[in-house]
Amino acid sequence: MLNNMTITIKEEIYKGLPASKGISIGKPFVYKSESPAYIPTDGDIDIEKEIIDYEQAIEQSKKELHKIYKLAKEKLDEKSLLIFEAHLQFLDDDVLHTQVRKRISQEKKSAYVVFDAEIKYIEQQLLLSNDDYIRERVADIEDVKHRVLRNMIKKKLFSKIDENSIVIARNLTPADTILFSNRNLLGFATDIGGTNSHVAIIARSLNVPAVVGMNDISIHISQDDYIIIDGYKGLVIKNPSGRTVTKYKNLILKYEEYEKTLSEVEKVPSRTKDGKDIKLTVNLEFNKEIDYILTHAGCGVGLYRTEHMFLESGEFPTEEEQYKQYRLIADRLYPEDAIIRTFDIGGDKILPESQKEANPFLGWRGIRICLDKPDIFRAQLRALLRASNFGNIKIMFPMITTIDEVRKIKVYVDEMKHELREKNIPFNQNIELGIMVEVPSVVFMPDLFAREVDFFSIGTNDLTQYILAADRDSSFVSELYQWLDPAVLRAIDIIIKSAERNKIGLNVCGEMAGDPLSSLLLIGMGVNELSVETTSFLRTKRLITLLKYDEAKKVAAKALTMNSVSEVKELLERSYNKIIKKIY
Amino acid sequence: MNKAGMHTRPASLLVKIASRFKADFYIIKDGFQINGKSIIGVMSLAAEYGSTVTLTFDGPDESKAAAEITKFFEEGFGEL
Repeated sequence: MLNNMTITIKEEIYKGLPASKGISIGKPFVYKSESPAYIPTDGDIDIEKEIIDYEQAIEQSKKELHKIYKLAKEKLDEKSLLIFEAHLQFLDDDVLHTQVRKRISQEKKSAYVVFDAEIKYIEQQLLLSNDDYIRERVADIEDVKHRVLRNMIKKKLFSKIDENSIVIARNLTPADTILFSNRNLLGFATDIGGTNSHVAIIARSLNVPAVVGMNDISIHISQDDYIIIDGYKGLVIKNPSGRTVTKYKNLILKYEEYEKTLSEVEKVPSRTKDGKDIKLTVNLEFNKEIDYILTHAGCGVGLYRTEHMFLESGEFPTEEEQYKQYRLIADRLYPEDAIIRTFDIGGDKILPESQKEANPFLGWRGIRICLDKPDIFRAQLRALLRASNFGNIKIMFPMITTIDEVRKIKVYVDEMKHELREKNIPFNQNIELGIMVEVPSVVFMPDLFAREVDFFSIGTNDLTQYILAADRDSSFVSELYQWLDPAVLRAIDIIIKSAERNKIGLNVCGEMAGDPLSSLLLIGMGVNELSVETTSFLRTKRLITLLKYDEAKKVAAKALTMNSVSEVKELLERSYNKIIKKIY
Repeated sequence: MNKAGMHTRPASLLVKIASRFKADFYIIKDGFQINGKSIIGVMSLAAEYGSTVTLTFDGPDESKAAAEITKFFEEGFGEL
């Protein structure tokens, strides 16, 4: 019998939520953060080095746990604290260490393999118990195991990633994403996450495509596939056909041309056709973006997220480290302003698995942590005040819920100012203080807050999630999470009017500001300051130069009478398409 | 054993107490010998309510260690 076989690899298309624009074609890097993939060491094992690696990973893990323990101490009950202590005791267990060291030398296996095997053995022993409680404790040991393995592998892992690959993961923690950000990657695709999750924000600031909420992409893609990621439509294409590759290569060229046309607006003022100036600023994520700002944007910073410093190292930076960083920003951007936001971390980024809150977004986060940890807060305020001597820094506070919080903050600021004066350290005496408007409580009594501060900054991401009670990272409710929802628009309108009445500053710094349809609407609603991601800067500026404020105002007035997202979107799309032609 | 058996909490406390002494401290149950200063060892002992264990102490401060740790066992690991 004649067998005429042709092997055709079938093209497979997976769909998710488009989270960052762009198209990349390349090799995937499948990253498992929850249980880091074992990276085999090439050639023979260097026993001494493996033992040193092991000891360093244990020390590093202890250091992390001590920090967490100290931070969370007053917030936990006695029982939870003992679980913490047990975690630390695991790391102090000399019997375990002796056994691991012995096995590394005898079996000539890597520290990773031996430690993993040893813990697995212990877990099996515990699972044999008839006692539910003991069996549940396996989770604690797992938690510690992952911490140690992560520390063992981190440096090795990140040095192994090919620069030109597309990261595929179940989920990426902010810390993972930041580690990736130091490398030239081609894109991100994740199973979990909404369009405003951390990975999405970082991908946008790095100007690489991202698709999130793909459910199970991390299972379908393997290391030796070849893929295309389409951040416009939210697609990942596995083993694309020649025709598909050609189509996408052409699209990439088209976009490059489009980007070039945007550079035309670089030197043009950010002013509408009918002469209204709109202050356009950027959200700064990484220092390397400062160069871009200075050469292409020439604007100020509407939001600098200081928690990056925390997420990068897993611990709060010292006052000196912060001072250096803030001074660098203030100095390089001068004479433009830089609005720097105090640490906005959630308890979910500090606490270990077993202590995590059920609802971290309603829990210990933002200013709540800072006010509970005066030492950390004072150090940050001192660093900011000292840096204010070198440029135009404004300080902004996240997650403000009550007037009491604002008053407490002001007492701290005054205290720090007094301290610096005593020591003759110069700073800007009239430094402006502002609050993020993101918790609905502020929307219900905006004038009371306006009297206390110099400016409002509307954080549309959290405001939307809190008004609509829809988790912005959940792909299940992403339909509900819409900043163009009439309720959100009404809230924004209330804040804009309150800022006008009380003659205080106002900007919008959430994702919404950089979304083309929404920026049109916000300008029409009376927002004079928008802070967008650097990658949206020129696009937004071009839109501003093409629109008429008078017309935008009419569109906004109409949008505010509507009662559904779809109506608002339709209206905005119609208005937007009149101004700018779509290319894809 | 007390009603709760040997949980993380009492295991953690036991290791803490044992580590204060120089003497080696072993727990023997069903023929298995476990180092009483090892949290993982003590937990994997997975001793339940009503099980019998033998304790051995060896070192300069063995009698002091024995007295204190036996007391801890008898009092039901500070849980009662």
